[in-house]
Amino acid sequence: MTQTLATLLIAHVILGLIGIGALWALLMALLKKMPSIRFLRASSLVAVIGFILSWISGGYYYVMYYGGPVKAAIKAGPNPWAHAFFMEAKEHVFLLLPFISIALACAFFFGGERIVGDDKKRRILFAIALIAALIGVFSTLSGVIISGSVR
Amino acid sequence: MDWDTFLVVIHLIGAALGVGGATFAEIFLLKSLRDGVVDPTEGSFLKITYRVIRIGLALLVLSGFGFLILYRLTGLEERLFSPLLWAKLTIVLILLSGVIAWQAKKVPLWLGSAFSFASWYGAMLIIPLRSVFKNIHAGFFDIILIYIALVIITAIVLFGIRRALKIPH
Repeated sequence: MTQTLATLLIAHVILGLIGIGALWALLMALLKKMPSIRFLRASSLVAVIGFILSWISGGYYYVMYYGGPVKAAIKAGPNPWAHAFFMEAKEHVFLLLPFISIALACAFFFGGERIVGDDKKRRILFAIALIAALIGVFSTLSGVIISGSVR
Repeated sequence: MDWDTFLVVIHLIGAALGVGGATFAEIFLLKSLRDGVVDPTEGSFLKITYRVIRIGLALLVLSGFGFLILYRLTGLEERLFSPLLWAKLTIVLILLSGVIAWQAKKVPLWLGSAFSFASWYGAMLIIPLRSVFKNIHAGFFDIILIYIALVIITAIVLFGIRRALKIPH
């Protein structure tokens, strides 16, 4: 693996974690009685940037390296299901994350105070952010399984 | 300083902040609840302590994943299937979910405290105790069972302390 690809793999993981961390902060803020709209906007924006950059770095790594020797090593190794199930699932469900985050950010940037003051809307946004965070956790754990299966 | 040492240092700082923060959060909470109310000064102390715990958690998670990347890049991928690692990941996930459930007031204070306390100490002790777990051939579920027992014991001890201090529930 070249230095560039290793850097991209590191960036993919760290940026994804930053995105999930931002969603977690968003969930915590939405549970407050009077959340700060500035904080909600900032954390949703961090989530969008984190997931998009993680998508780009992970996508480049996948196309340039994973699809060749890594995929072949996993398929020939003791856990071929790590690619067949976890990578296949990850590469599809992960795609939801940037778009869910963009939708959340749009809600906070354009909905502003109206959303913060409305319990029903806040609950809906909490549910959407929770689904995104769960997808993020699933993607992260899948990444650990996939990386562990490269033998 | 090589990457391994750097990550160990960050991981230890994160664990120290988290475990220390969780311990002092519980002490401050018990002290503040003795009169049944948390006054603004006590509230500000608790707020700062929870912030320290969150910083510790962020350092712990980022350095933890740093280790996973390092294993992948240095050909030690088999370590990513270690039951200790998965037990630690599970405990951290329980801790993160517990904080959200506690913030949403879906779990009582005593149970939230027990989970936070036991999870922080459990996550910190897993790695130093790895040789013990290895000797007894402990698998993932054995470690999680030990963790659940630790949560129950912590809940009982905290309940006892609250009763002894006559803290209202």
